[in-house]
Amino acid sequence: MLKIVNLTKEFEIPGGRILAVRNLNLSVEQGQFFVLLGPSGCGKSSLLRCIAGLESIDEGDIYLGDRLLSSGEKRVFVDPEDRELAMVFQSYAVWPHMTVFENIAFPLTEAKTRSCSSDQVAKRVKDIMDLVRLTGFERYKTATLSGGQQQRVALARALIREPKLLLMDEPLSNLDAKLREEMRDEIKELTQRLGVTTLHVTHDQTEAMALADVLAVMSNGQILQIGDPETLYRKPSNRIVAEFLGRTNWVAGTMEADSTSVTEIGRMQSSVFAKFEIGSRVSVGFRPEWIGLRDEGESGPDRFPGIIQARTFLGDSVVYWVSVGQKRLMVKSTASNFSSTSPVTVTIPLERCVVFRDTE
Amino acid sequence: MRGHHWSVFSLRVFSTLAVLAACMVASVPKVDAASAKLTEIIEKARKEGEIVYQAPDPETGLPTNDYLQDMSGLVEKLFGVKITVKIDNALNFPASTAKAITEIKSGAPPSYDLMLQNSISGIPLYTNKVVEQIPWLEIIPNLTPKSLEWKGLVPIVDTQFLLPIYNSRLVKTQDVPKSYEDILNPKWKGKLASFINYEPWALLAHQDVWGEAKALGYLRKLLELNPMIGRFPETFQRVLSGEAHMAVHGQRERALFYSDKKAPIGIAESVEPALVWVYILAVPKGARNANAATLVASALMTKEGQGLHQKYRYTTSMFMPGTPAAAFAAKHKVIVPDVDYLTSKQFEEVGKTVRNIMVQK
Amino acid sequence: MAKDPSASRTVLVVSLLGLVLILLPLLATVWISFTVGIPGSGDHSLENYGRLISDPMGYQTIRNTFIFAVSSTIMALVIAAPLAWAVARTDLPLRNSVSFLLGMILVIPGFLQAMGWVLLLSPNIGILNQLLNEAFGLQESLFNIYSLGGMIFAEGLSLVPPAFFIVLPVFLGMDASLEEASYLSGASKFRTFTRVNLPLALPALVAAAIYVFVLAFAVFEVPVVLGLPNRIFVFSTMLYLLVHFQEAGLPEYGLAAAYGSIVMIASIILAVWYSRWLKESRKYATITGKGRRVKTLSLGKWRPLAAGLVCLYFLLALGLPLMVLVYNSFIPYLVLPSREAFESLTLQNYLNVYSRQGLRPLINTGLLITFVPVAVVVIATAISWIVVRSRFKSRFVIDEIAFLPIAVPRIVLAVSVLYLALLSRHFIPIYGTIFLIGLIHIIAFISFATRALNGAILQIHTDLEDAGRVSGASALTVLRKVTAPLLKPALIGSWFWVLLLSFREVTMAVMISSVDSVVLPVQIWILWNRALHQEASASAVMLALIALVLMISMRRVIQRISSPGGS
Repeated sequence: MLKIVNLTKEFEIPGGRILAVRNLNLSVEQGQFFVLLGPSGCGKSSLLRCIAGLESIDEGDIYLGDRLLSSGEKRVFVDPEDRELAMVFQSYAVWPHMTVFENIAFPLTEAKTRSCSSDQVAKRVKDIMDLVRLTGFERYKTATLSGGQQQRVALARALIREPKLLLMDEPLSNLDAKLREEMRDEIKELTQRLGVTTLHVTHDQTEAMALADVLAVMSNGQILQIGDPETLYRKPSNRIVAEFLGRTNWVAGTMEADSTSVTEIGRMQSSVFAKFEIGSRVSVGFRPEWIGLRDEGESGPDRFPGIIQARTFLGDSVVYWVSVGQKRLMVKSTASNFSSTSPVTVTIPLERCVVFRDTE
Repeated sequence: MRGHHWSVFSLRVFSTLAVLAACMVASVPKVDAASAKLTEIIEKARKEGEIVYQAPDPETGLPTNDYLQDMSGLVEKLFGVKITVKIDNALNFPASTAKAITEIKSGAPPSYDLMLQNSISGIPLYTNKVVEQIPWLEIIPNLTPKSLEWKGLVPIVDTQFLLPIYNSRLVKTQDVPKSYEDILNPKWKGKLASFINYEPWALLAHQDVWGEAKALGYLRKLLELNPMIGRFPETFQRVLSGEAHMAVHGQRERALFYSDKKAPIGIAESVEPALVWVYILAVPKGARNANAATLVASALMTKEGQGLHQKYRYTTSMFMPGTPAAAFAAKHKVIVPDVDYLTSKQFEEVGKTVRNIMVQK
Repeated sequence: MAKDPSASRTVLVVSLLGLVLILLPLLATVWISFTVGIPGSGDHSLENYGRLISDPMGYQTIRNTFIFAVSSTIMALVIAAPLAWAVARTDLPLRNSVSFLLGMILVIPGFLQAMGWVLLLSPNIGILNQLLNEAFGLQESLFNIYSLGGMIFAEGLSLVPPAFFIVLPVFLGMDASLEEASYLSGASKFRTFTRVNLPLALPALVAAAIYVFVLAFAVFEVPVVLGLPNRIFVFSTMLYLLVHFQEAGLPEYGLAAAYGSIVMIASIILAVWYSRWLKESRKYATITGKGRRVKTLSLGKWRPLAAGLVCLYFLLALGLPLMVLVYNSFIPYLVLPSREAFESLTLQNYLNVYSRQGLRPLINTGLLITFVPVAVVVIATAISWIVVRSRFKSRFVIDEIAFLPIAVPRIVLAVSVLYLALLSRHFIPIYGTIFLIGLIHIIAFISFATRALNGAILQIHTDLEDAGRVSGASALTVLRKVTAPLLKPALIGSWFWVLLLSFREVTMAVMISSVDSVVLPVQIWILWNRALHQEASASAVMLALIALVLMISMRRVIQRISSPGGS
């Protein structure tokens, strides 16, 4: 459905130019829920705005289906109002001077290609409002609605035209945690039900993984890795991706022998070290929840002695900060019986670790 | 009031004779006292050193600075005192009058030391009694009582004659009006200009001139010809540019100035009567530099002073012998406003009526 | 008034000072309306009001005034609103020069602009009329500028700058995503303008409309040049007639003050209606601090048309009058352009002006434009802030008071201040000095600045200021460090326009000035009053040149106020 080829976009700022998006390639299939994850300033919003036609592009092509929307070299630019996409803004951008009904009906009543009679409009608005669970709010002025309700108005407005592509620019970031979860599930369910191709941008990794059929991590204007969430989480292709998808413990080490590395917390031996030459420096990464905690006991190839430094109770889990060797490891465990200053043994499933060459 | 009204002109003659007689009787032993008075004024003026003169800029386009310097030079030549003359030309006549009166009545010294006013626009100075009483006849040599207005209160520095003026390129010689009636010809419809001021009509409405009925009737007929209405200067410009072919009333002296410069403007001198616009010099009460102002006014009332007025304003006083204005007045019927008429209720009423006629469309 | 946590004492004091400054002459006006004759020495009676009722201006005059004011307001807004939008949000060619050019229009005195139109469209001597007559063999000219239509045309053109200025900051500050959402819903640019931009800008548009309407109601220069000759009277010219052409020669200030008081009352009613708008539009806060993404809109195929329309406006409002002025300044007396005219070109007018001027007017004007704009912006910000932000019950009254000076005819305002200064000359010796003129300018222009600042402060979401308070800053600090920087475009804009207004203000300066306090534009006024139009034109051209130099030196400032994103 959406195909982006070699997209480059630069901005002029006082003092020079910055490259917001560089040579980016991306494809979103029909019906997919595609999530673009990245920190602030990585260029994801700029990318979205380029797709929407709110920014022009410098190089590359953007295709929606067979249609070329923007092209740098071929000098093609389709106005945003002609692109047949829809967008939900971070600030929702619902119009304060119109009622809920008028906001949602706008794409039907004001668009350049208006083809509905007013009865049809009323019916379609009602249907979509039922879908987003806003029934009965037709006459409310949007300024009186809560954040969550405004967001649903924005969503309804976007979906009413059955767009070819739905763009979402961090729409959940202004909601409180509980609402965020609820809306997240609703959005996924709604888009699946309607079969809407969606490109969703966020900086929140939980949200990204929960929503995505396909997940892409973006940094500095480029895509670092694309794949399904689980793969990216378990097998990140580099350190940045790893960090972005969740907390990671990193331990530095040097290859001592075949498949053996001497690290800051002790000696590790595993097949994951296989391809690294002796003498090279590596970083070993593993997720907090993979680490097991036991009472002080014997060491072994995957066991390391440590002392609990701090403890944080999270409700459904406990986070321990454990001093192991020269490192402080973060451990997430459902066991709550360990207390500060207790000596423990941590077990690390080495074959699940990711190892990267240390480039410093 | 009616019964007691003399002809405006004859009243002048009578009062002139009366004053002349009184002067002849009283003049002889006053010579020393007069020069003593003048000497006193000169000494005080020397300490004052400058005046603020409320007057318009020269009408001839000559530089104002030259005008002021020439005035200063004349005062020095005649009286041996150096007086700097500063000009304040911001407000028009009625507004400056009001300003001076407001200041004086609230106890402040007036902004102006010497004021040039039209004898009609400056009337409030007279009625509010805010003019310094200065013995002009004693101070100015060869000054006659004819040259004083407002019952001897202020000297008349120049006079202008209001007559129909026309654009000589647009109005053929045979069409130049010879009487006021000629102007009411329908062929002038849409081609005339007229004043917004009510004064000319109020003067014409005096029973010894046209009387109220005739004056107002004339005005109504005139308005049917859709003349362009404006103030003095605008009306003049309209004739000059050709926007109007003719103005019912215009300042003769201004027209002379332009026609002498070869501009296409003419004066219908055979029309009678000509209305006289009288300009006076007043020293307001409490003026900071009253003595210096007196000297400047006196200078302007001499032959050389009149020469200055001719040079810069193209006007002189018809009451001073030998001036161009006197020459014109000698050969034409002229109407000079009289202070009693100007302060009468009738004058006010006629003015109101004129305004109402003007406004009705 | 209950203690309001949002108000800082300093802000309150400054705004109260401003209010006192405004109220004093207004009260003096009412007082003068009860005097007959010279203010202060005449009798006190209801006579003026009696005359007002028994001998009123007449139905025709009032009718003319309303038609004139409403029509020119509509015309001005129809031009100013889209122009402001185009400058703020699109890639209109030359959009950086628009503020600059509008400033030039403001500087040229209104009566000279009207004179320019006379030279072009007078039925007897208008150049355009003559050309058309020759071209089509007409007997009677097609256009007559001496008509209500002509007056509306000329006035509408010249009212665009103030309207533009009040509306511009609002378009600049508008959250772009509201527009973008509209495009992404499929609406065309035109529909987006009419369904999104325009309604959101409505509070500012209403403010501009009211202000411009009141201006047009009392404006003098165009009606006196274009209406009076044909005996078409409006409020101001009728007042002028009453005041200056009265029997017994004295201007009837008392009567004028009576009319002024009535107009004040009418405008209070208008202001009450306007303040209801203000309440409604609090919901339209659009600057939320979440980052304004500003993207200029491409006009695409509409670009040439838009550019053409803008050029047409400036040609009519600035180009033609300037050409006429320049031509007029080089001829000895008024003749239409012809070979003969060009042979008689002369520099005499400029020389005369030069010899009149001297340095004093330059110094005086310099003093004015240095101090007046700053004082106005400081006081107006305080007042607007109280009106928009505080929770005092009386804040709308405050806004109405701030608005009133616009409603009072300039002549009346000047006389009141003159009289007050005269009375208090022992305590405050500013009578006759340039400071009195400065004071009256401050009073007159606070009302203009508060219109613009009301709209601008409205746009800033209270969250941003509340965040400052919660961080421990006092209300005054919040005003200084949070609100003011966000208001920068509006503040600089106000400062700039008040500077221009003060620079060219003449009606009041004339009444109040004395020999030592003459300012530059008074010279033009004096010359125009004597119908020395050629010298007046030369003087105006020089004034325009000085203004041009002034504005070029401030072009960075001007660019700032017309580009989105502020700093």
